[in-house]
Amino acid sequence: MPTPVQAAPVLDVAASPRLARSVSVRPERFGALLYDFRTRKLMFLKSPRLAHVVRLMDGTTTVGDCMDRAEVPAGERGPLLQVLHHLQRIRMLTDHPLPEGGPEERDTP
Amino acid sequence: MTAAALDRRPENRLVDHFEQGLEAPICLTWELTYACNLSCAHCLSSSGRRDPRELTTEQCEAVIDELQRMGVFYVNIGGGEPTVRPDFWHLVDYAVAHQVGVKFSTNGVRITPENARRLAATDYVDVQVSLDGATAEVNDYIRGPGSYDTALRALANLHEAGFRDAKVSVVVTRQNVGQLDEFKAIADRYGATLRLTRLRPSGRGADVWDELHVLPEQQQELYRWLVAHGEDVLTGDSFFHLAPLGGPLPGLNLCGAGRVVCLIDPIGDVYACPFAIHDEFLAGNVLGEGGFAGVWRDSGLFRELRNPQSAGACSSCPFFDSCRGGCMAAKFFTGLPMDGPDPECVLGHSETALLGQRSVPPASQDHSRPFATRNEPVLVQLQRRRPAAPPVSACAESPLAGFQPAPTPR
Repeated sequence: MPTPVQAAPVLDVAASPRLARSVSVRPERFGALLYDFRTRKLMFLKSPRLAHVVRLMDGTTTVGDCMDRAEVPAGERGPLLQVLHHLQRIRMLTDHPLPEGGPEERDTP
Repeated sequence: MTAAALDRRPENRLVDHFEQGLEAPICLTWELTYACNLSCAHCLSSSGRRDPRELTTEQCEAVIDELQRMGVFYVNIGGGEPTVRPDFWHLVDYAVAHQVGVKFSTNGVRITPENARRLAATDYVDVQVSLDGATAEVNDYIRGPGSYDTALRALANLHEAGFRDAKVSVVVTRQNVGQLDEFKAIADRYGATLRLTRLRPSGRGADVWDELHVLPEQQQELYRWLVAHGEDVLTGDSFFHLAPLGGPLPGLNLCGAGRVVCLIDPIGDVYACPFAIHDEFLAGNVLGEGGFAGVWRDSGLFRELRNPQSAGACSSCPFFDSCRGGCMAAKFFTGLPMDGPDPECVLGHSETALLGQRSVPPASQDHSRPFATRNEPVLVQLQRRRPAAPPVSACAESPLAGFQPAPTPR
C-alpha cells in the first residue's frame, strides 16, 4: 500500500477499530452525529457514506473492508481516512477489543 | 481532495443542513421550574415563583423517554433554579439511566458537599454554575446579595468532591466585561472551564438590557479576548454577531432556533430557543397529541424557521454570511425588525433603528415574585434631577410665580 501524499495523517486501512462505548450515534440526513459522553464532544459525520463506514466498524472488520462494503469510491477514501484518524485521536474510536474476546489489540499512533 | 475540501462541497455545508433542521435538537434546553431562590435582574425566563401547571414527575419521565427515543444526546436543564424541585435528583438519575445526558445550570444553592460527591460519580452529568461577576460586588449587583458566595462555595464543593471540568457560566455585561481574566482565573482555580454567553434582552433582561449590554468599544475588547482564548473558553456559540470584527469565532455561526435548538418550559410549552419565551415563538406543548417529537417535526413555527430566511436589510452587508443577521430573540425583544440587523450589530447598522420609533413587545409570561425579597438585586443609578423650572419659594409674591408658559407654536 503506497503512503498517501496528503499532509494530514490518515487511519491505517488495516486497522479495525470500533466506536468507544461512551459514544452515541444519531443518524441525520447529512450523515450522522456522534456524541461522546465522556469528553462531551460532539462530532459531525458529514456524509452518509462516512456514517455507514462508522456503523460497520465493529472492532473486528478492517477499515478497508468497511469501506469496500460501504462502496466508498477510491477518490473519497483519503479524506474519509483523515476523519477517521481524527476520531481515533480524540478517542471516539478505540482499538481495544470488546470484552467478549475481540481481535488482537493494535498499537495506536 | 482533502478533508477540508470535502467539507466545502455544497452538499456538505453543515450550515445548510442545520438551517433545514435536524431529526432531533442537538441542544435542547429544559427549564424544569420557574421557582428560584434568586431574582436576577436579567433572568431570561422571568423566574421566581413556581407555576402550578408545572410538569409532574411522571410527565417529566415521559418527556425523557421521548428524548431517548429521538436520540437526543443530552438536555440542558435550567429554570428557575432546577435543583429546588424536590424530584430534581430523581429526574437526573432517570435521564442518565435512559442514555440522556444532563447538563444543568444552577446558582449553586443545593450543591452541597454530599450532592457534589454524587455528581462526581457519573460521566453523564455536567454542571454549570452561574456567576456574573468575578467579584462579589459586580456579581451581586445583578444576581443579588450572597449569590457570589453561594456560587463559589458550589464550585469549591464540586472541586473537592473530584468533579472534573464543571463550567463557570458567565453572562457578559457592561460591568463584568473587564473581568474576563479574573473569571478565567476562578475557573482554573476550581479545575473548571469558563463559559461566556451573551446578555439577551429576554425576560427580565428586557428591563435592564439598556443598562447592562456591552458597549461598542467593549465588543472589540470581548472579541479580542475570545480570539486569544479560543478553544479554552466555551461560548455556547452565542457571539456570532461579533464575526465581522475579524472573522468567525470557533463554533456554529448561525441562529439555531427551531433548527438545532429549542426550549421546553416548566409547563411543557416548546419555544424556538432558550431566549425566546414568548407567545410569538411558541411552537406547541409536550403534553399535546404528538408529544415533543411532534412539535419538533411538525409545528408550523419550526417549519417556517427551517425555510430560507430573508436577509432583509442585511442582504447587502458583506458580513452577512458570518453573522447571518444575528440573534432573532435580541431583535424581537428590542422591537427591531426580524429581517434587519442585530441590536448589537458591530458595524453599527442598528443604531438608527434603536434610536428611532420601535415598540418593545410586552412579556407574555412573568413568574417574578410580586414583592421584593431580602436578597433581590436593586439596580440603583444615582441621577441628578433636573428641575423643569427654577424652584419657587413658598413666599414668592409675584402673580406669575411658578407659571410655565406653554411653548408658542411657530
